[in-house]
Amino acid sequence: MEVSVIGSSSQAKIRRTELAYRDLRLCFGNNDKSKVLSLKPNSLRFESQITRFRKAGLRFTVKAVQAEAVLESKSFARKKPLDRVNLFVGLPLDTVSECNTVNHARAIAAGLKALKLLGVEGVELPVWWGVAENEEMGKYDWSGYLAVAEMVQKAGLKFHVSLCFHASRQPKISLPKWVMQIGETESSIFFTDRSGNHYKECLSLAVDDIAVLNGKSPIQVYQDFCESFKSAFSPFIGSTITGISMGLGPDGELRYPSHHKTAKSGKMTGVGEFQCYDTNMLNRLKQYAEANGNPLWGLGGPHDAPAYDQSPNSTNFFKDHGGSWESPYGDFFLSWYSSELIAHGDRLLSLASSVFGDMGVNVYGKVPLEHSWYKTRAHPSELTAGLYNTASRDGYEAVAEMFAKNSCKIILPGMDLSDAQQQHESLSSPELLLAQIRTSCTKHKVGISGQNSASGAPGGFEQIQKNMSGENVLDLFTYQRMGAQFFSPEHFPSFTTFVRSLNQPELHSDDLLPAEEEVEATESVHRSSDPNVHMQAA
Amino acid sequence: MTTVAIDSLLQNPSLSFRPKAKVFLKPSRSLNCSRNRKLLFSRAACSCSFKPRRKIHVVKASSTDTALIDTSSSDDVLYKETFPVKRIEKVEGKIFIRLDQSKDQQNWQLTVGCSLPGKWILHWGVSYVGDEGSEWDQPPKDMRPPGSIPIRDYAIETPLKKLSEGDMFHEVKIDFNPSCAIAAIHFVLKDDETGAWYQHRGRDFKVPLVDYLEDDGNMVGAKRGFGIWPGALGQFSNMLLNSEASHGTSQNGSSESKDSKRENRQLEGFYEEQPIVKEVPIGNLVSVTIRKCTETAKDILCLETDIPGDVVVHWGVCRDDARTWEIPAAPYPPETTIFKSKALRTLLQPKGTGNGSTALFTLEEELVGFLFVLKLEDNTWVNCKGNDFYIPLAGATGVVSQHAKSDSVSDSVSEETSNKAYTEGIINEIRNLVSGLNSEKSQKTKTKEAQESILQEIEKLAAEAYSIFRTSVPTFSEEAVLETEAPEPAVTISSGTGSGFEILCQGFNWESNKSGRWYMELKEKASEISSLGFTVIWLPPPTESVSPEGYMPSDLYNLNSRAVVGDDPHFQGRGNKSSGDNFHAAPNIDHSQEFVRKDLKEWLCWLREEIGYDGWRLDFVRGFWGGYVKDYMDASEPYFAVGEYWDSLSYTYGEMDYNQDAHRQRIIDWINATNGTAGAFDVTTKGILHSALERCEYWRLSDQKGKPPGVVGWWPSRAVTFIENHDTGSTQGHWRFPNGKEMQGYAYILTHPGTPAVFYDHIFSHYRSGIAALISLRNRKKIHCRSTVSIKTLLHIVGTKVKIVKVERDVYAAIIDEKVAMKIGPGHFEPPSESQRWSVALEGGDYKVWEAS
Repeated sequence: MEVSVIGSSSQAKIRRTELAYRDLRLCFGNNDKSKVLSLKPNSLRFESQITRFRKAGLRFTVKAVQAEAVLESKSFARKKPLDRVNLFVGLPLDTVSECNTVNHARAIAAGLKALKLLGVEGVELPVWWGVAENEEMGKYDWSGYLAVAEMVQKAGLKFHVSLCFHASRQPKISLPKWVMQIGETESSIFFTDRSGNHYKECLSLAVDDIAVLNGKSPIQVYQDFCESFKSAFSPFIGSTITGISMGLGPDGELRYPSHHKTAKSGKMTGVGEFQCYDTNMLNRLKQYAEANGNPLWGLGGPHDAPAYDQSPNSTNFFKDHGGSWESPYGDFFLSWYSSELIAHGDRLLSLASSVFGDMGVNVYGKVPLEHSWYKTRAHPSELTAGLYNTASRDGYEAVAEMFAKNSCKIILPGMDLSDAQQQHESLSSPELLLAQIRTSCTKHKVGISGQNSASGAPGGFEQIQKNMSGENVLDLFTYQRMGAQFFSPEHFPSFTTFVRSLNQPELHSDDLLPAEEEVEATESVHRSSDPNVHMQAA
Repeated sequence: MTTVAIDSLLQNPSLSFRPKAKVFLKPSRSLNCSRNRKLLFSRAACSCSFKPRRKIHVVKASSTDTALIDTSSSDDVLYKETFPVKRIEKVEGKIFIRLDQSKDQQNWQLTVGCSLPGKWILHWGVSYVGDEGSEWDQPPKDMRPPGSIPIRDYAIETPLKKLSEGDMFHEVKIDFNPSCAIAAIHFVLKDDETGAWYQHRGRDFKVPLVDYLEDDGNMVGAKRGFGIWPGALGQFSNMLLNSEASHGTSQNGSSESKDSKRENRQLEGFYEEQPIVKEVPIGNLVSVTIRKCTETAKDILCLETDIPGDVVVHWGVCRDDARTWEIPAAPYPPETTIFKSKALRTLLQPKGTGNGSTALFTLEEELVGFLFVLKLEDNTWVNCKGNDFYIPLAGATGVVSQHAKSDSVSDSVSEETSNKAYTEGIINEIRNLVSGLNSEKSQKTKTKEAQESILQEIEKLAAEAYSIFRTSVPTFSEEAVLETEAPEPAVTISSGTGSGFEILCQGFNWESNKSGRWYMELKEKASEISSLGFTVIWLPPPTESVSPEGYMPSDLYNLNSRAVVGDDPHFQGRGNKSSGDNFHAAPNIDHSQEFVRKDLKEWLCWLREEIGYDGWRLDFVRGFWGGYVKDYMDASEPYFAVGEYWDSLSYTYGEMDYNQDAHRQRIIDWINATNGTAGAFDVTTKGILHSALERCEYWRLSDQKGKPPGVVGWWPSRAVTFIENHDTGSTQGHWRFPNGKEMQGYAYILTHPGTPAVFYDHIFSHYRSGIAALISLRNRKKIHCRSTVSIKTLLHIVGTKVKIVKVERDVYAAIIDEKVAMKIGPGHFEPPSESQRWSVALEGGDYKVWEAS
């Protein structure tokens, strides 16, 4: 017999699935009449530990009937805080190695168990193009990822998959070998900066529809990849796999690789550079300029933009007052530059939602949080990244609209960043930028999934919690990322505290534990006189 | 001349050993007799344990420099740590066997009992009148007591029951009718708690029900042919069944018997007791406390333990993190001697309470650490999870907060310790958290306990994950490094590896000597063994010996063991080298003596050159330094040599540890000491296979770096992999491979690098075809003991490097040389079809092997 509770004292019904995440349950190893006791709302669950607690369970069974009764009577007291955030944890970037084996599988298995016991909802795993389709085009090896999916399923966790069409520096995971080979002769498939440097960690968005990959266009190749993934993982999609995020660019984010190098710590982030200098980008710029009647504007990018690590005021383009960005040329260029990016995002997200849309999963795309220089008028970091967002123009409206059109949700990183931590001189404001993007999303009814900043130090739990408890509720939050640091004594206890605080958002002392006297009360079923409480035996 | 005759036995081509096949000898205990056997039959051997013939320098303990422990030490404890230690205690008890007539005078009853606590199981069978050989049969159904479980088609397992609650005695009764044609009841006793088997003289107990059975030496009460068993074993009454004495006194209607053979059978009741020694793991504590002496500013370290009996602490100090032992300046505690100028030995003094013992050490301030191990009365050593106990001294100046304590421990290099400290730290934090929350209501419900155990579980898991993540090297770089290893020269013969393509056949079991002409029997099987694909055959010891199995040699030049010649008058051989004088070697061979080594080398060369053996199997090499082995190997230049370095894997509370690096390191160290002139049995792999197969924990088969977890993962060319031998299996069964999983074991060792050895009993069993197929595949695919690395593209594993492709709870899969893929375990695996096409080569219960086509 399983007893569940439906409380209707507030407007939302507690569904069983939701309940499962909230309740501490003891499942006794009594095969035929296994009892589920909702002993303690708002807490951990540990079904997977049935055997461990079998002994304890035996002690409980004696009083099982009473205990159930108590809990049912108590459950009405619960305030309905069920619009809670699903917490995910990212698995290590190199969970699956280039030879398709599962790295440190035992550590991950132990980690999964620990997360499950903590009450974490699921895990996120990057699925690399350079691993699954590494050898040659159309030859997929999903074995490593399938193995992970099985582990996750076995652990009873949900699974969120990030399809990564980009490369990783640390750990080193390149684009597929065969793509890199093509790139050796055909470097124009990569983004290129003003000085001619190629960015080889993802393909230029300008070749999206050009058949540069053995007669196929990247979009076709991405599509085949998604289809193959879908068929290989069909037993998991919609059940274990609840979310798929589509890689949109560098680090999976919808942006240009405007910063080739991440800033050294302690050093201020520069403004970055425009990435419109590969042949195909230049061609497109030229066509666009000609179509707009300004062929001379299509000969190259802005000549007065600063270099990567320079500050906005070092040259003319991003100057707060009288900078070229505000000139007609500036608007022309930035409009084109950003519209190319949004069109690219649109192509990939519509592809993804056409492949996965009917599978019962959420499709996500990631939008960067380019918060440096946000307090300047020009927002140069956003501009070089392709987000035409300035003091006078909201660049995220178009982005959110594009996501809404494709019924996709947005992943927003940097939820752990607070303004207070930023260097004053960088005129940065992660909090304000986040708020702005979230407003656009709310307006277009685009769901948001949060992340902490991928590169930043783990922690920042206070800020994360602040971001999660705002009025605009997050869809889910993915904490990055499992690994040695994650489980280290310096970090793991605070993570544990964080998870517990999430699961007990408004911990009422009554809800803490059933008081002893109540456990021992025998008539408790009958004491439950609240008409709103229904008990349902399932 | 007899030597000629032996020559012809071993080297005449007509023997149809393939030229490739090597005859292989096991000099066995000749080289050392200090094997500390744990079980009944070999208790005799315990008495001659190896004693270093070193002068022990006794520190003159004058009253001025000992026992200067000031009582003026302050009460501030600088450091306190308690280490749980495990040791094996031998508990003596008895097995009794009683045969008597039941009340109705019709049936007889055999009672087997045991006086020790345990989960005893009688593993038994019968032999019928007219049976040939020593095979068991299942007893008739009406003989089986309730609760019996048939084991295959030849045995029954019946649990022993306590006579009454609270009684130590367990027993089982078997009723039988003497008119059924049973010639004898055979049994061994098994303790299900420890998995140990208890036998009679290394064989089954045999209770004869007819009087004309040939005595193979294991008859209960039968007259002993050898007077060699000292102690209790040799003393029990000889005749349990005295058929002569009872001749003609018909009590139970044997006239009804239709079998003439049984007519003279008279059963007579008997009662017999036999000593039994059970090893019981006991948990004890060793605690160390450091206080500051207020007057001398020295540290006073107090070592206490509750281990009973005499405990000697071997100790030293170190001045740096390298933990090099050195002897500190006096004063020392009383009863201290210097041991090999490397360590001090101090006998702990019994505590006033009579419970355990203790010692106080005064230590200079500038020392970094205090190192020790304990030696117990029974010559066993107690260390700290495979390492020396290490007590940090330098960090012990601060206050003893929980934090400082875990810090000082994690500063020490010991992984385990720091992990432990880490876990404890977190658990405490979480506990505080929990108690903080709960204090609001100050309730102590059971939920809290349950909740706390979850939190502990979480922290345990996190600690485990942390330790693995922290130590794992990214696969990418590591594999790249592997590829660039300098290719070893192609096929060169070295005594540590043979050709590198050897497959070893252990050509005997514990029963082989019973035949009396084992070498002849093997000769008849030689062509068959060779045709299965074996290249080396390992023969039992040939020398005249104290034990019938050929161990404990008495005259090394007399190749007269029952295994070789038995009763065949053709082979009454003595070596011509033997002058008839006693061989120099006493039971404790002191290999450090030049003349001993010289004699042994001469003997080995004689065996090699004149007798014709091609290699050596060295028994119990733990007893002597590998450097001597190198000496012997260099002198005798064997084609192949392998040593048995067998000690216990590491366990924590009865569960085998995942990380057995310390265990394999000890084997590797020995091989290294031989300079690689001998390989070693990969006991680590066998042990890990036990746990992996028995408990469906296949994840154990990949170490933290994704390599095989045994010796084969670290030094494949010197690893001789095996799953069973005459000691672990056969009728001794000291450490039997999980029953029914043998083929999975062979699927592993016969596809993996290393030199695999196949046990005789398995070759001549229903596993034969499976084993033959695996050997054939190994030879066909040219899998060998090491890699001949050719550098190909990155991330491709080449040479005999195992690429472990899938390790999970229920399946282990690997690709070897990119030529062979294999999996064991019930889980699913298909080899990835990226660059090769795989076709199934063979498959069986829970194993499957593919070859690249």
